[in-house]
Amino acid sequence: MDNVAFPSADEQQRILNDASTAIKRSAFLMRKAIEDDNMRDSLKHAAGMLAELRTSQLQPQKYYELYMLVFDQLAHLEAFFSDERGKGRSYAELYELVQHAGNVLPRLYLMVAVGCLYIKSHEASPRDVLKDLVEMCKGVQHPTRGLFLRAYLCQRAKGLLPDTGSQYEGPGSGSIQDALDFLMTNFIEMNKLWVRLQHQGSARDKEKRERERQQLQDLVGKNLTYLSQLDGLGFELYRDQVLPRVLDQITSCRDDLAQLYLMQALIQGFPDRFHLGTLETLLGVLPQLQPGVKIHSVMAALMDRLAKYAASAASGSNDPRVLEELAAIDAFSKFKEAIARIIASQPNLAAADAVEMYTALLSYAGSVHPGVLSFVDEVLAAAHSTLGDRGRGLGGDARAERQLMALLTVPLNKYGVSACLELKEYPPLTRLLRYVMHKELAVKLVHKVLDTVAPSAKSGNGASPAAGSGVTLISTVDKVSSLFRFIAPLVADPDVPGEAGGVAEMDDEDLDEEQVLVARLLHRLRSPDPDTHFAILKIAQHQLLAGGPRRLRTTLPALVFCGLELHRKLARPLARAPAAEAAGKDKGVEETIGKGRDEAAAQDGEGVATAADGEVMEAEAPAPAASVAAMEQSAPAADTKPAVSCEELLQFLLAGIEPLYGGPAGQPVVAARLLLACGYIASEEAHLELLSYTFFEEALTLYDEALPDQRTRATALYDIIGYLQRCRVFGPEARDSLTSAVTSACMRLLSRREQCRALCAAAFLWWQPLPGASSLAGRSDGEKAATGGGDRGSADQGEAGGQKEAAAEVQPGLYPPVRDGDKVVAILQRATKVATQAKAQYGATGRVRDASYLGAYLEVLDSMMRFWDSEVPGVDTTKVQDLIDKVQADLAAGVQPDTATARRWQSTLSYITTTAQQPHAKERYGKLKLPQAT
Amino acid sequence: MVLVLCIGDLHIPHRAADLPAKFKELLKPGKIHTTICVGNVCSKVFLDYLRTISGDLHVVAGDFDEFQAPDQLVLDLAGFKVGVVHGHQIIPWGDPDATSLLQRQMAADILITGNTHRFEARKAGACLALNPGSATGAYHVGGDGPATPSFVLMDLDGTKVTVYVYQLVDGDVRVEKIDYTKGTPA
Repeated sequence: MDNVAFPSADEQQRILNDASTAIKRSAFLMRKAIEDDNMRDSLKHAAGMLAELRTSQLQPQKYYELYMLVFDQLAHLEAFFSDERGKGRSYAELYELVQHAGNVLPRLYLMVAVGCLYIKSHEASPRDVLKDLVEMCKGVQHPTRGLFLRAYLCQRAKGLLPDTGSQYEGPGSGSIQDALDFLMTNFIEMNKLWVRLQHQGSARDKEKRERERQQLQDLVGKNLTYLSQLDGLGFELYRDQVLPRVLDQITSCRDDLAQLYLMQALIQGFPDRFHLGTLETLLGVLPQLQPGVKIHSVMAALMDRLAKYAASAASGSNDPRVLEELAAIDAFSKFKEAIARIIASQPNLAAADAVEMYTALLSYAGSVHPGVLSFVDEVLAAAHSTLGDRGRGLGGDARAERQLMALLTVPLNKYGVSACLELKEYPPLTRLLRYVMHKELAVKLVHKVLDTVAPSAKSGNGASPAAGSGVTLISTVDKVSSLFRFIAPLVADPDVPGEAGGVAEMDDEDLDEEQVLVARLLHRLRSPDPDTHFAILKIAQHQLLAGGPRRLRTTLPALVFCGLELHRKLARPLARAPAAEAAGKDKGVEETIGKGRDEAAAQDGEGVATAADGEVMEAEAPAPAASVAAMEQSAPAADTKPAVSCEELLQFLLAGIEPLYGGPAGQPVVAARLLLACGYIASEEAHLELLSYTFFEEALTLYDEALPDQRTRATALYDIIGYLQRCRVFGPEARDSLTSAVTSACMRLLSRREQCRALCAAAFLWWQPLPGASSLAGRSDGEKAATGGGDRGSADQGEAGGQKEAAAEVQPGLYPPVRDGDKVVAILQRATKVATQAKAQYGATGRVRDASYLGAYLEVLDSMMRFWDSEVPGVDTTKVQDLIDKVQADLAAGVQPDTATARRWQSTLSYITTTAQQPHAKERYGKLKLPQAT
Repeated sequence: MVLVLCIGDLHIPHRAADLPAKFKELLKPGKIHTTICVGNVCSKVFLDYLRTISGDLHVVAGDFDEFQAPDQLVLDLAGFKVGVVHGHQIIPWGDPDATSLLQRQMAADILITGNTHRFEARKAGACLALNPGSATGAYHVGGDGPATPSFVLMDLDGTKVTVYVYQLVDGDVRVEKIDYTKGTPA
């Protein structure tokens, strides 16, 4: 009967239709006989209906439709049997009666139907009837027919088993052993039928047939499900009877499909603690399975299952001893060895499948041993030894490479990036990825550092997040070095010559986007200890330099600012508290609006103070696996003076900016601004005149030599003035050199009006703010007084306390603010001269509409008024009045200003008028003579 | 009624790794009508991010921006003249008189500047000068410790401006409200 091809699909459909019609007809007659209370006819038509199930012409799927049709109708018959018993007919009698059916298949269906009712009525011993039925069913050996018959038996009997504690248990009726035997026998028989099913039909469409067969797998699996649901099935019974028999059936059936399905059904079906107790047996059977079975997915399923079990146990919802038990039986090593055995026993195992097992093992280790990083290294090493000889890109096996990516992602998710940086086996494994894939992984890693929001509670020695902020910081030299190995493809080109994906193949935009990630990452590399922090920056610089100029463009500026932040820590180790005071203090300086400003200022102070706490919290949690060096480096440095000095750090930064001056990494505009920022810090924080001078000198040189166009130059000039204006480290000579360089730069701007504007700004170089007079300067002074200039170690350190009051006037290393009215006046006069030249130019060209020179006058006028307001000596009413008169005279003479200039003139006039009406300024502004209202 | 987000001085990637997560949660697309950025975003990625909050983005260039943007803008928003400038051009930096002068020159009712990395709202004459601070709490050469991350929402309604200041203090977002009514122009 085996190996007979089924009819064509159309033919089968016809057979199915005919059989369905026949079933419906018989069912109709059966139901009619039931209504007539005619037992004999009922049975006759029932048998007729069941006889349709004798067909061998249908594929299992079509047969299933037929079976369901009959199954529904059998319910009517069962109800009828129950009624009959009420009328005095015993089940023993019925059980006899149905055995007269002529054909074996209908007879067995009817016997099952009655037999189950028989047990339910407690008239018969469940043990005897079940045994009878399960044995009798052996009479049907056709795979499809037998499978469905036994499915029916199993389905009907499941509630009637003499399970421990059930109503069918008893000395005469049977015990758990009988229930177990019944289900085991039925399972074994069904599995045999199911395995034989593969030989049905033609050999051609084997694949399709296997697919169909797979659809029937749950019929077989039901037996295992019911077994696992038996109340009487304790661990011993499972270990001694169920598992050996099931495993024996699995191995002896030698069928790929059955083995895979049943192993999975076994793992999913029975409780976790059963697996825990029989792990060795379970793992031991794996290498005995057929070579075609996807053992890796069985292994993965088992590890996932136990990992989840352990996780739920750890969260308290389950038995908390599970973790200990898993550790006690050393499940991790057992899994690891099992994987090795499987790989050894299956030479044809796909690389991806092997990696999948290791991935599952890593997940398992992450869930069960969240604190033991050495397990991760073990797995990574094992994976490497399996894959190592396949070389980069795993010999072009894309699926394996993807799976390897998945494997490498697991530790990042489970342990956090910071902890993973201690994994020695990680970088070698990443080298098996192609450059582009490794880069993809590196991007993931960087995002992981940048995006960490909440620290994972269970990662014991994981990241060192600053309290509350959820920010991952990489804070030891070792980890930073390691990090750069982990993200190598983001920092440098492939080290294998000719490999794809290097910087030469990327356009500027993509490269910039990628390097922005690296630049952002730099801010997460820091230690509370200044020396360690400096060492970290040096490593970063070294790595970035190796990446070549096109990457540096984006990353270097970030490095410089990281250095400047460190500088602040060096220069002002105790700056926080006074900073808060200063922030509170300066709120009175400006006219504030409502309470919001006051509160905002107060909060600002608070924010500063708490951030300081945050820094303390950043200190590395002692990591068990951390190296000695790392421990030393993370030692708190609160009391000891750091070895690195401000000077050394600034020299480092000066050299660091240089690659941006020109050449392929050239970013002269950015470089100039970085130099200015550093020059400012060298002056105001470090008080190092020569270094500060050098920064400004280089910035001015870049300005002269490398800035491309007028607009850039004009903007940059204001930056130079902005920074320089606040610097107080320079003695008269240095100041003169720098300011004259600035004023001559002003004069080299093209348009006269621009020259005027720039000169007016430059005038402020000679009128520095008094300490406390404006917010920024005020803060810096407040704090200097309190820290006593500790970083300088200068002579006045001892007098710091006594100097507190005087500090507002003279600070160590800084000169008093320059307030030189003569110089201011001189520059403003120079600006006036330029405006006059602009006017002359206007006259020479005779362009009536080009009256923009008036704008130049207005620039000077507005500035002059500001200095006049500030009562700068030498800036008197006459000078202001002169400018007003000049503009007015030209307007009266018929010069037509453009609209913007006209509007500005009006706004200046109305400002004067309004201010003159205010009591405090009445006297000064009242002296100004304005033109008649226009 | 127009809801305007004022934000700036992100300095990503130069001086900060990211916006605070809590700010990102607040700055969801669809609520804001107009965004004014005072500059120093410093990367295209985050300029694009700002554009997702509101398509109507007005941005001026800060000293560290490399994308093309004007140095200053004057916008007409719900009856207000709103001047926008980063502020590094104002000399001396953050100087109230210099800021007022610029505001007068721009004829702006409201002047929005950045640069100092400190939130500030100041009434000068009939005008309002607003500095949303640094949204990332970025390092500033003139500062002394980590700056408080902040941004500002302005609700413009007729002659009334309601300013909501969002500051990240100790990991929590604090909101302050400031009311301002437009005065007669000086």
